[in-house]
Amino acid sequence: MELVLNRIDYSLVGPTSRHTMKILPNPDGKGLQRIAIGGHDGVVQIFNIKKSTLVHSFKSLPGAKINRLELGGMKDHLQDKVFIAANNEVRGYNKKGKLFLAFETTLTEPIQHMTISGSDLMVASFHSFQHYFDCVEKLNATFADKITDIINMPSPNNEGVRTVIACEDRTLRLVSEKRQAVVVEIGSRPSCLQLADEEDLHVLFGAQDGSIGLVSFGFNAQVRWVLEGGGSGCVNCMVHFDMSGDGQRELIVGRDDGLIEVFVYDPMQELPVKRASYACTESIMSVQAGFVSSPEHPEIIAVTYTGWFFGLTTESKESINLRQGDGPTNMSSEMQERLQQLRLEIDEIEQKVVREREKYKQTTQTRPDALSIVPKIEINEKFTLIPNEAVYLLSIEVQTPIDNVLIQSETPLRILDVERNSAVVSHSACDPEMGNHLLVTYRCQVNTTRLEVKVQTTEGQAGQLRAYVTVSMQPKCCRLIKFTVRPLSLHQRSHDLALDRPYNSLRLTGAFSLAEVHSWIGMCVPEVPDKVPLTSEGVLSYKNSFLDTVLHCVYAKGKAEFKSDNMSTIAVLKDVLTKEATAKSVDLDISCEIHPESTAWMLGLVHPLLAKQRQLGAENALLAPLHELQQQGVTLPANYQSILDSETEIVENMKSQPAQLERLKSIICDLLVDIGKFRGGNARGRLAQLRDLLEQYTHPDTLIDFFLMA
Amino acid sequence: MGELTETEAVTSLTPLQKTCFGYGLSNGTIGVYEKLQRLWRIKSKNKAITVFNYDIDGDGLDELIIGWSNGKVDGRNCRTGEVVFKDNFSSAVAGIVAGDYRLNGGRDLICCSVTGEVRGYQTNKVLRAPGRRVNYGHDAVRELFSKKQNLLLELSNYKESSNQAAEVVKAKIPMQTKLQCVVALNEKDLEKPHIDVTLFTNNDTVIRAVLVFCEGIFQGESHVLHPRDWELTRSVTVPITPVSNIPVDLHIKALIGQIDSTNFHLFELSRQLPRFAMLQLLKGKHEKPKSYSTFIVKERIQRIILWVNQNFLLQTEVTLAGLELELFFKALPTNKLVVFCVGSDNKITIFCDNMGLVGEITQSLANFLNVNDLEARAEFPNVEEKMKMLMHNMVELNEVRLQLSTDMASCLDSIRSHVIRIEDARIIEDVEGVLKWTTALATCNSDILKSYKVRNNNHEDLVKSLKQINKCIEQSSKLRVGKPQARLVELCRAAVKNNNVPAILRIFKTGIN
Repeated sequence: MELVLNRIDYSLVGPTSRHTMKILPNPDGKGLQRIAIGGHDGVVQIFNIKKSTLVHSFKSLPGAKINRLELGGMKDHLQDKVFIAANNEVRGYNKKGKLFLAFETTLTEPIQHMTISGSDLMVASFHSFQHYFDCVEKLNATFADKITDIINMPSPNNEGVRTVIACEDRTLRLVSEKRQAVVVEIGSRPSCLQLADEEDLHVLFGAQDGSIGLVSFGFNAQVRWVLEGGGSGCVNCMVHFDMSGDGQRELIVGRDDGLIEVFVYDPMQELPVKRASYACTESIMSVQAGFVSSPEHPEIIAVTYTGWFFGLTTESKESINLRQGDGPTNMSSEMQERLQQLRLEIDEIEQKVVREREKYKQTTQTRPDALSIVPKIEINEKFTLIPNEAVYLLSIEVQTPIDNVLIQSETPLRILDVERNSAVVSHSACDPEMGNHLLVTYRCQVNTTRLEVKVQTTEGQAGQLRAYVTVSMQPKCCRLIKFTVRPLSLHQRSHDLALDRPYNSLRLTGAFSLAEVHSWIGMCVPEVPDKVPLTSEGVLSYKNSFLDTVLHCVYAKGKAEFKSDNMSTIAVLKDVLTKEATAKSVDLDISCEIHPESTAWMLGLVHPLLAKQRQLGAENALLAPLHELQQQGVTLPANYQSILDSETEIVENMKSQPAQLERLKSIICDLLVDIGKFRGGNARGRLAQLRDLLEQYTHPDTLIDFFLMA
Repeated sequence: MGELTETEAVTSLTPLQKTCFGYGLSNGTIGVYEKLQRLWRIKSKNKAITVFNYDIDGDGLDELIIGWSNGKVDGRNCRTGEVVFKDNFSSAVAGIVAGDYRLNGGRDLICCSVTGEVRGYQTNKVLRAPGRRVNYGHDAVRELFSKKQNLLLELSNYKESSNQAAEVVKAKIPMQTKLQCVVALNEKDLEKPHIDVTLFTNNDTVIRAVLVFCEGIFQGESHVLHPRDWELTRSVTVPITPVSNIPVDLHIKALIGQIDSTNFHLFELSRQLPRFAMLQLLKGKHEKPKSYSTFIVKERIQRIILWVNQNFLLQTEVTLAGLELELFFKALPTNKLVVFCVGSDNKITIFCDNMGLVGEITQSLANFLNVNDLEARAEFPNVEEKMKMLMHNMVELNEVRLQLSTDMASCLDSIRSHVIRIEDARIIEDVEGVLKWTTALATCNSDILKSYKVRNNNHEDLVKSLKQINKCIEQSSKLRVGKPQARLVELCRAAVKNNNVPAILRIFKTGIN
């Protein structure tokens, strides 16, 4: 069955964080439901919707930024109490807005995540997790990696509450007061959690790369299924609701790139199936579903980063218009009244703004000592690796419309345009000698609040990437955001130990502390925990998302060992580490060991990629001639016909990954140089020969022979 | 009639009703002109493959229909540029036409994509209904909400700004900070003379980066200067090289703050570079070039001085000393000397070897002074020489062409007979005969191929010469304005047709035959 969703805009509530909007349950389960929202300005509001306007039952005063809003209540009672977390404080309101709890936790950082069941309150900051029972601390845990979400598991037989903690090290941990933690490793960085069902210990996780998976913490704790993201944005929020009215709950997902999707659980299929989707231009921070504007039609409601509060209803457009009196011919008095009301409000504010503007102008002219302060622009920025494509996605989202963005890089990079963008791109001439390898301006069309850019990095070339974001607001101002491109930028954390590979190794010994070596590693690879390992030895495993090679780091006070099947990885590490140690004037003892088979292994890994790219290029070149033959009525042999059949795929691949072949070739050339360096020679002289060889490449053996010749 | 200059190569044009026409540029800009006035233009990151005229919403006025490189098709109101119609193809649009392909007497719009998809559209009056967007009220509400939020934000910014105790010290700059701009010609850089636009602040705040938006003179639409962290100062110089003698509008955005700021104030500045910015005023007298054009303008000399001050990049304004004016310029980057003289008898003489440049100066001046008709006497020995040579070449090339044509005709004749002979030989089964005539045919064939190549080259040369001749005529016509200008073109065309070189030279000199 098709699910048609129609958007209704309700209000603009101002910027919000993730998970700060909830629908309150109704005691009798009938009628329209109330909604609670907490904003960056610290305002908590509880309201319901009448004729698409908000009718507030409560609105608090501004205060500290609200990071999380949850519902709670006595066990086995209606969960209609609203709890908010701001700074390190938790406050509870009843549905009428009466404050019944104000409780300061002992966390030193602001609370980022919170989950509540009965009298059990769990809070988490970036690295610490606390469990309170009736406001008494029960459990306290600290993690080296960032916590990304927490959620309480149901405990049917009073075993005590158990909490699932999602961490950036790609694990989900089930912790409880009494038992030892259960750790489940997952394939990508989790970003949010949602209970799968009430009875079993199943939890859904959404991940940074857009994938969604189910983890069972039952008898055999493991990942049950993973639905790959396929290039869609980070999962920000998830909720279950029966949208179609067939008695089956659907999964509703809100994503960073503005996509809201509805999935159905089909008993015949292993994975949920996408039923409907809606694309909005701003990231979705919270998503909920219920009956809010009409008692008959279930509705998805969502809040975006800039604070758009809107509904996606199953009600038909005509029916909505009839109800609200909005239509091409007869705009009802209510609609007009609403417009009138808004216009009045705006007029009032406009006058105030004009007055302030005048005042500002006067001060600039009369008082020579006066200072002008740029308002701080709140930016929601992300710079994350998309592993399948081995490129970084840089996304910038601002509360107010963006005027232009200038991207500058001090290291060689390639910027790939994202189809969704409507901004006009202009590459400016730049001089690498002056520290600018890249200067690109994006001039945005009116009312753009979000911009996405893909960045292709090369391993070994590190530096800073800057984005100057100018907003179109008076007084005009601009904010600089910086991103670090690390030398091993294409590596991502992994749990795959892959022991049976031929490893090259790099051993360091010297008078350095654990914290020092930890920070050095942090300069080389991404995703290194902010905190120094809590044990005496740190262990990190990485996978190169482009080539699938592996890197293991084991380090402790005074010694560190790195193992990788990719010689270039070792070479980059050696360069950076020695440079850092020299800067700190620490004497290092470095020893390297090359596994004789690693080169052949590595070339074997590159082979399928290289062969695929070559084939793709060849097939792409064949497309036009084949079309011509077909038009002349020639019957094509099956293998050529199949090329024509997969034309869209080929073209799509060529478009999405330009210069991929060049990228692979330069990696092989780097490998030759790096191996040469470790053997104490200079292999640059042989590069031209290698390039020739790569031009006529068909089989890895020719390359392996060439590499072994030296 | 008129001449308009756009920022990039024009890739498509279409007439719209009455006096309007639509255009598309290679950089993704589209727009509409009414007579010589631009009504609107819009730039997109995609390229407009084609523009077309069709009344899609049935309001009696043509809409500008645009086919984009990303497969989009838009219909825009020709007055306002508002989108009234939209469709999407899976691949780039190849072409748009209109016709009565259903034989129902109407004119339907037909769009075709590069992959061969063809779609037809007809006039749809629904598009015109006042609230055709189903969410009419909702859109209004949405717009009002965002306006409200933006205003509230601005308000809170002023409040914060007046609150001097705010904690971020680095983002503060004195309120009286101003951005100043000096434009000067930099001729020291001998290899690539350019114009320096120097920006500086009036206190110790620094310029973090400068973005200059300007169409047509940079690689893209913008040029960025981003000094290294340790090289930040209160002034930045942007080098600019105008491509031709057109006034350009520079839109400068400078990010200003303290040395280690992460928040910056944005100062915006627009500056127009004068048309002849690359002409450098020289001091003292120099020897005048031999070529010149002279004409009489009945106008006070003060007005002419005003024109000089507006259209040249001068360090100090030119003032009148005496009754006559004599200005020496150096045209960069060619270093040609240009002398601009105004006599007491209203006689203006421009000395320069480059006839094109003299034409541009004449046109600009005439336009400024609102002169409708202008006769001129011109003396350009180098152009005359060139013209003579070109005409001579053309005659020769034409002769060669005739010769080649006859050769080819005779060759064709023998081919025909050869073919018949082969056929005959085949019928009487004379194998040797077939061989013999086939060989002869092959020789003929290769001969004709060779002569085709020669003909082709000859044709290309001819076209090239014709182009140059036309260019010379155009440049010469630009030395005059109005009726004399049009008459010159006419006379010259006739003279070229008759191959009358002395007449051409005479027309060049005097403007009449």
